[in-house]
Amino acid sequence: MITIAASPWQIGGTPGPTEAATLKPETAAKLIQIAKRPILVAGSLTLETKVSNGPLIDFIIEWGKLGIPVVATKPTLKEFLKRGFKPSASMGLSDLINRLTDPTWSLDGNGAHDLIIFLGIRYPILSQMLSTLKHFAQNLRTMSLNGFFQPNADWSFPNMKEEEWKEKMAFLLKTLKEK
Amino acid sequence: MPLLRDKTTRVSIKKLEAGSAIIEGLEVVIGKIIEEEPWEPIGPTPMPSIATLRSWDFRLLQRYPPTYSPLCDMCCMCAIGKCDLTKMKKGGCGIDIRAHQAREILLRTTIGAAAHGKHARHLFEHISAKFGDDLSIDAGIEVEVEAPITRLVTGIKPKTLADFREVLEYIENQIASLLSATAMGQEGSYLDFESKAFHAGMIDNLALEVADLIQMSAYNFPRGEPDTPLIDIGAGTVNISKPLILSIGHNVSASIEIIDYLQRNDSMGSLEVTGLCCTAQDLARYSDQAKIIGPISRQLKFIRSGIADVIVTDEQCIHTNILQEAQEIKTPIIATSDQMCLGLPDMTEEPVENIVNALVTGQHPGVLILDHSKVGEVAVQTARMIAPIRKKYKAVPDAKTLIEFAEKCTDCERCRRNCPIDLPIDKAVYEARTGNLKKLVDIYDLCIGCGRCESECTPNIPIISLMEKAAEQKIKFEKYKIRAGRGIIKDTEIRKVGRPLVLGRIPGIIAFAGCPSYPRGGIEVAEMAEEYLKRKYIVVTTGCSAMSIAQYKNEEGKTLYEAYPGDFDAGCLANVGSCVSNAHVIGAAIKIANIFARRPLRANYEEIADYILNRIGAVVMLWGATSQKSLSIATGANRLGIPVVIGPQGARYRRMLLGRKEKRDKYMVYDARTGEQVFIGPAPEHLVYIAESKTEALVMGTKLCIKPNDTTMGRQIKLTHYIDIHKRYFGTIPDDVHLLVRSEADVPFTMKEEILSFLKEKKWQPNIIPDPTILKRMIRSRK
Ligand code: SF4
Ligand code: SF4
Ligand code: SF4
Repeated sequence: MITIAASPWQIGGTPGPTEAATLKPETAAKLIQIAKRPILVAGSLTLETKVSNGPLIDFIIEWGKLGIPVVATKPTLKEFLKRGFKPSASMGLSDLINRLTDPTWSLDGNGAHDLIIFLGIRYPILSQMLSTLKHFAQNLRTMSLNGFFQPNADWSFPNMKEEEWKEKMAFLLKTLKEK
Repeated sequence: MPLLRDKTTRVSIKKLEAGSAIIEGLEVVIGKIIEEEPWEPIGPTPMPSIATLRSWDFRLLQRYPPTYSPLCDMCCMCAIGKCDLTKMKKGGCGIDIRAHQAREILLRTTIGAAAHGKHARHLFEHISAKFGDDLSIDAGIEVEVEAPITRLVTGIKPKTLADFREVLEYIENQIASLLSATAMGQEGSYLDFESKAFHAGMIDNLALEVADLIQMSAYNFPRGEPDTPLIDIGAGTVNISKPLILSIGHNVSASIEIIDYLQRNDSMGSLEVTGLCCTAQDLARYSDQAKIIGPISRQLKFIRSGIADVIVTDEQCIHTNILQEAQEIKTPIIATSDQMCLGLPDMTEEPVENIVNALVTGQHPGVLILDHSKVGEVAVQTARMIAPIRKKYKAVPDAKTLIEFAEKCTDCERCRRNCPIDLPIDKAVYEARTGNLKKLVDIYDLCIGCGRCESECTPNIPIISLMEKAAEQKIKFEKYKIRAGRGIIKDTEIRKVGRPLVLGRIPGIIAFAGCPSYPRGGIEVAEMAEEYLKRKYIVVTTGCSAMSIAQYKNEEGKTLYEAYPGDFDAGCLANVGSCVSNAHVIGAAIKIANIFARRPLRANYEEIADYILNRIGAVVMLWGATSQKSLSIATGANRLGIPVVIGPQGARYRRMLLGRKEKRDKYMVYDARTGEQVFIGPAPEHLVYIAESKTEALVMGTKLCIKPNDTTMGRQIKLTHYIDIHKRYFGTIPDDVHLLVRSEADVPFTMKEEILSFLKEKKWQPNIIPDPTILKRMIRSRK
């Protein structure tokens, strides 16, 4: 992997010589668009995290409606269903990560995924789950779109103030909708 | 066959006066004698070595292979390194990241086992000197199987303290072997490292049992009594006008001397004797006059309050900067363990008067006293003399000073970025500048009290003191009740719950254990406990988790200890005791196999573990997993087939043991009646699972109690809970119900229609209920 352009959100979180490349929203949009088998993983913070026009979960639903498969981690599922949105799957985060280390596994059984995007997951647990994928799922790429730099991902947004993150997220969704 | 075993006998004479001759400190070892033990025939694995139970471990690891989450991609264990092991690159010794992570697990479980082993050794030596080697091991009435882990692992049935000498030597020997395997260029297979980690866990559990049985016997702790006294817990329960002694750590023997001294002098009420962490739990088992401040997360905060006049430390979980912290508030420290000497002068041999003088005058900020019998008098005298002198330190900064500190905040975020649980402490401090302390008060309950935020703050704002001040009023109302640790589970209780548990009518045992690094405060542990209690699970708890459960009141204003009985029974909440009391939780599962199911116990590890794995619905919840000791306790439970659910912070332990329910071949057992291989569904699905949130842990707890041996009625009950709780928190029927229904009779009656239509959709086929075992040798007749 390239670059060390940002420092991990958690001080002392430097894992080693290989760290994520920092991501701009326009690059994120491109990477997502060229991915053949992406999934978006929505974690338990999706309700309490706010983006510009409401809770993150609504943002994810809008995005999901563009066609990207959404995996709701177990604690999130009920809220998606309440909003009339059925995610492609719902699994425990640990269960999902474990299966992603198997290159023969996929949500629909139609071949391995190539990009896993994470949103709304608490920093410390996400950092560890990304570490699993970094070492043991080399067939796929990972992207963290929380506003906190996750060095164990392949690509991560850098550390950002809340307002800046909200703007970038809005820009990202707009770009994805336009294409 | 009676066991013939070599036994070394020691005779020690402290002091013998015969005529003009005086003999002092003589110890004679009388060679080896052969002793007959007629109590139970010896099983196949007495005192297993690190490789004896390897094939059992490999069976578990085949179904539950490790999933690693490296915390660091490098290895710096030897002088060839640092080696970058990223993405399966090999280090200079040939190791890859997978094996290295397994080595890290082994190292940590061995550290845990060593800490508990040393704890047991310290207690043994102290109690042997004080009460003699002949002290009876007394686990109480209605208890025949006093030491299930010791009997299972070593084949020894301890009758007196002396019988534990051999057990301790075995423990120490195994710890040396385990540690040796972590050396560069020793073990290379991740599976073998994991097998050894299981061994470390088992040795840890054995040490826990030795430690707790010794102290229960010597100090007359409660022995299986469900209605132990309700003890005051919470910083608001102390009378700050009295001199106050604060004990911190895990080995209670030194602090017991304080109570003994006060009782001898008939002055128990003149001082506050308090404790933090497991020493506090054990003090409360000794005297209902002792008060518990709270779990270890309250350590720095309480010290900062300045209320303690003397701090007595023993071993484990003590903030290693405690001396400096205590100096800030002019509180002297009495260190009492060779495990934590803190650079203090050793005044063990000095007269009490000199030691007290050195502490009260500030000649030394603290002292090391390795003779516990002196600790009581020194601590009490010092507290009495110093309390009036240090009155002005019994306060956190006033509100004005607090705001002045907060005004230095530059909103740089570095405190939050150094917080292990990512608390928004930066915003809370920044807002305090305006006099709004609400965010600080909110964080007070969530904060684990590690102090990392402060050490990163460039303007040196004492963030913890700010929190303590902001929450001052709230702390005054921290007045709760906890039931004193009851210790062992009685054989009669095991007989009572054995059948309903094994048949599944009691849906399971949920054990809340371990440290308080909770993602969202201790209240979540209490909420989980309450949910399981209402559902009639047997809920047991120990250590800091037991204290966290106490710091919550239900709608009626009662703590759960006041609202639920302390029996080992359905819908009861048993505080078993301190961390070493976890032995009785694990021991209870062993005793069910032995007492209820009459499986031979003595040195018969695999068969008992096989029984527990397949028949006893028990789950350990480590919601605030932090220390190496928690990991080793849990890993010992794992080797016995008990699944563990860990809170999100525990992802930093680096590994899970996860099954995959779609892999049918992994969930096959032998039917012991026929030798046929039978699919049992994911029962239990995982051995170590990290849950993202409280709700996920709750649901996983109900699911992991499902066992292949459940009767149809038992399975109905367990599925009712699993489906109901899944629906409540996740909104749907679980997607794996079809894997857990073996026949239509398993389907919960109240959900019949819905479940049957789900089964149809999944093209479900019925299956038989086996007499389950994963050990080929347990098959009674082959087809
Ligand atoms: S133990 Fe092995 S991997 Fe670790 S530093 Fe030494 S050579 Fe490198
Ligand atoms: S003391 Fe509390 S707020 Fe500070 S870093 Fe530790 S957990 Fe976070
Ligand atoms: S580290 Fe100190 S200065 Fe920076 S935000 Fe935190 S409290 Fe304020």
